[in-house]
Amino acid sequence: MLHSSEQIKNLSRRHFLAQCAGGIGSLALGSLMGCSSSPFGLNVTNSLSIRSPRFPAKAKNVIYMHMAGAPSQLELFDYKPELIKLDNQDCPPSLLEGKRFAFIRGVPKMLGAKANFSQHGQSGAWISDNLPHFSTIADEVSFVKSVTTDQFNHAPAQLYVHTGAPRLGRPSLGSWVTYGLGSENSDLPGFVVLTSGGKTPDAGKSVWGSGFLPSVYQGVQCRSEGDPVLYLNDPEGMSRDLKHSTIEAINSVNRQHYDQFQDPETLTRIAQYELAYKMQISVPEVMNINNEPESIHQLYGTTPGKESFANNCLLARKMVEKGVRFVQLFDWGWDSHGTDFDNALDLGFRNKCRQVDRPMTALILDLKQRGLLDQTLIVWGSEFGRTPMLENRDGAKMPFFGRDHHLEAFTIWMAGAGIKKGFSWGETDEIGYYPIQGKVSVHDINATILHQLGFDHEQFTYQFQGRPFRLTDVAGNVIKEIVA
Amino acid sequence: MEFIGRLHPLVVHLPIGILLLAFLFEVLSRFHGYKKLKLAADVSLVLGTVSAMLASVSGWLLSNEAGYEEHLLTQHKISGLVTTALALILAALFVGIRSFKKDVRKKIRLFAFFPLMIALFTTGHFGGSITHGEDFLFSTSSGQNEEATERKMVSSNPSPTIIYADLIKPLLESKCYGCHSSKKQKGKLRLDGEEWILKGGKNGAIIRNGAPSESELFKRIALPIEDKAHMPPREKTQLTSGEIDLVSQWISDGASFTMPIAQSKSAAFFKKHIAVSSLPQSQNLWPDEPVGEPDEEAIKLLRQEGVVVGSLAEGNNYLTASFLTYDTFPLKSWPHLVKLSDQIISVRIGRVYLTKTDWSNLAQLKNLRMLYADNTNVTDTDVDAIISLDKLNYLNLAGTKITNAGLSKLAKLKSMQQLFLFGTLCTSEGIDQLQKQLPNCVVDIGGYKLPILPTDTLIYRPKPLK
Repeated sequence: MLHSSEQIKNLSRRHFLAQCAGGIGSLALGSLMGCSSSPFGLNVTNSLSIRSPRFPAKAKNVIYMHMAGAPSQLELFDYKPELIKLDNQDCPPSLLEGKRFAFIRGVPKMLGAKANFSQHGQSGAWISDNLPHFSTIADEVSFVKSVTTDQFNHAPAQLYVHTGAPRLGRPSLGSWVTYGLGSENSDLPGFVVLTSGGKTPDAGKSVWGSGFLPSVYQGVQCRSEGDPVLYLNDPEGMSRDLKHSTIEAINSVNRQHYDQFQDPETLTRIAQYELAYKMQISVPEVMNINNEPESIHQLYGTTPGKESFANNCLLARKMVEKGVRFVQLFDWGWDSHGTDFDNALDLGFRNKCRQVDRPMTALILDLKQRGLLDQTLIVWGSEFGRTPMLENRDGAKMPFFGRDHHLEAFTIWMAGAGIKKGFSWGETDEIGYYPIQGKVSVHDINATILHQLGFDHEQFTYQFQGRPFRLTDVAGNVIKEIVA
Repeated sequence: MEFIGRLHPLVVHLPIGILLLAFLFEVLSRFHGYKKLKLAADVSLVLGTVSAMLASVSGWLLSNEAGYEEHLLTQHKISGLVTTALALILAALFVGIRSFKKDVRKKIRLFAFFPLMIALFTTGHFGGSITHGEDFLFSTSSGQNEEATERKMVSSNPSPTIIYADLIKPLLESKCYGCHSSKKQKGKLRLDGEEWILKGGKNGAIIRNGAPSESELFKRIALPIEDKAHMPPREKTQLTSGEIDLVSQWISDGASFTMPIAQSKSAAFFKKHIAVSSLPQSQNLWPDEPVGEPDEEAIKLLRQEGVVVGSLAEGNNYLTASFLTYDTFPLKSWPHLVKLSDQIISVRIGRVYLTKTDWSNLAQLKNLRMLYADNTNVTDTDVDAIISLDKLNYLNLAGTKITNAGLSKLAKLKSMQQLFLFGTLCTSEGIDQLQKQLPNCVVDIGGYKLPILPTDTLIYRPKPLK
């Protein structure tokens, strides 16, 4: 048993600050946190128990679909007839002066859309024939066609979108949201990540990391093929009772350790053990799509047991139904440079479009018929857009039609949870190069997402290294125009 | 000087209060034991007269500022001056009649007060009419009226035909009439009629046909909200970007007051505007009126039970309760839930099994707005408990065994806004029947399908190398 003076010595400045943030915060939230039923009877304040937003909010859950690699807005949503007229002409120097592109060198040619556009829904949204299913629900979503970023490589740009900073170390959007709101279901992680397309995003798992927030808020990656969560299964011969008593023993040791050193990460560890134990039952259950009726499989185009975007969309719906706060979907293979068949705008890109068109449409319709669309915020986006110019890598012509990374303007869309239906905000110039109206930043999008969840992004902070940090750093304005 | 004028709304209450008090003292001083109050009446009268003069001066300065309705202002000015004059006369009179006989003096004093009181109330009434509108006193509640107009706005003419009458006028009515109509004319501007709009405000015309950027009406609404000249004022309900575009287009096309949409050269623009604004947007389902603090002990006990109890927002007493981790409803939680029945507005029992008792207990959560009872064992008889939840505006019965029989009972829930019936046994006849009685409720029967398109299975493959 340590004396209190020694205990105080053990408290580093960092612990003190962390305790201040957590301690005072939890005092304020004390009435709302309480202790949820723990199979271990340990009186640890569950960091994932439900917490209130700053103001009443429409969105309770988020499903964020990120098309890693950056799909071309010019082949999907941003219709530019003028660009088609300029097809194959030299790019004017005014668009190139003082610019640096990821790959384009010298004078590239302009490239008209490799898709046909038409208007859809009562709102008359322009959508290309690459998304025939999605076109039918144009009246459910709000497009933002004037998003800009300042990072032209995938990894920093993805970090920028998801953590508000292009460098490592900041918590991701999903972590902020679970930190702020906790979870409605103590048996499942509050923040789940599902990837499809073979690769994790270029930025690695940091795009769903918890940064300086307690690590209990990091995204938990679940797989639709093989074990849903790696290393969660018991080894052969280990009974659930034995597991229970093992975790009980570990946690009581951890508890003593916490009493001694007051390190909040110890609490995280205790909570993680408990959650992992519960997840052994709950995750395989929620990750199983075999019991879904045939009509649902047809709607989404799912094949059980496969790793696909379609499966992940259906899983996202099941998770939200079960109260998972934030579901992050990553799809891979959208980097349409035109270097090979798979990323050619008129070939492989169209295959990719087909892989997501039906499932993302189905997800919105399925949430709608289950009465969950009005409380689930759907975000579809990427890390940047693609140039109106044909890529000429290092000045040489490419074998296929492709476009380089473009920072000045790209399109995202949102739906559900109090986002306007059948609306479009922001406009680009006649070739889709710069926004000419309603320009928004990556921070503006995050501010809007937090707003729909009931947070003022300027007030929602975490004390770290002697100053309050927030997701939107020192920027960001809520895009009020797309809020109903 | 402007500042002194702005003090008028404050100063004006002094003569009203003090002169009224002088009159009351005068009356009271006639009763046995209150004789001393005569002196108080004198003092109050003098003080009231001085304050009336102050109010007159400040009022005069304020009246130089623009934006008040002319005829009311004149009436207020005249009656205000009369009141001040009467107060002065009265004070002089009281000094003058000191030598009169006591009972004569008493009569004169009392009757001399009446004209002053009448003038005082008249002035007050006109002043009130200027600030609150002429119909303020006798309309039931001005707040509710405004809300009613706004509500009406949403469902105004279902098939608009005239650009001005059906698109522009309702917009001006809901966002501008508050300060620019018969009630008030801030900046000497009225917008409640063709003649007034064409007349313009104190700086002249507000519309230049064909040129929105030179029309004050458009410029003011298009200015950034931080700008002092921006309209409507910051704290008032703002125009949406779509509405601003609407005004711009109307002016561009010549600001006609009679042009039908169909004949307009921008018919496509207006039709799109109508189409977009008629898409149903989602509504807030939570109540705005405050509620008392919840029983903390009950919340604690529910949480120990494993029920997830959240609050609507920080500092908001409304609660939500979720049972997402349960297979069967925890019977023990009922007493605590009932204690919180004022606060609980949302209950999530999706995929939970409830007994007959549980279903009937549900009726006690009388303040419930949202009930997520999808995939539960709810039956048509259990609906009897649900229909006593008369504030319910969201009901999710997707994946249940509800039939038309249960559905027809729901017609009693007049505040219902969203009803989900995907995967139930209800038929379209049953839903049509219900919709007739609940025309404002969105009923979603789901079962959405995406067609199989020939392109769905099309996969581009690289040509094999020769």
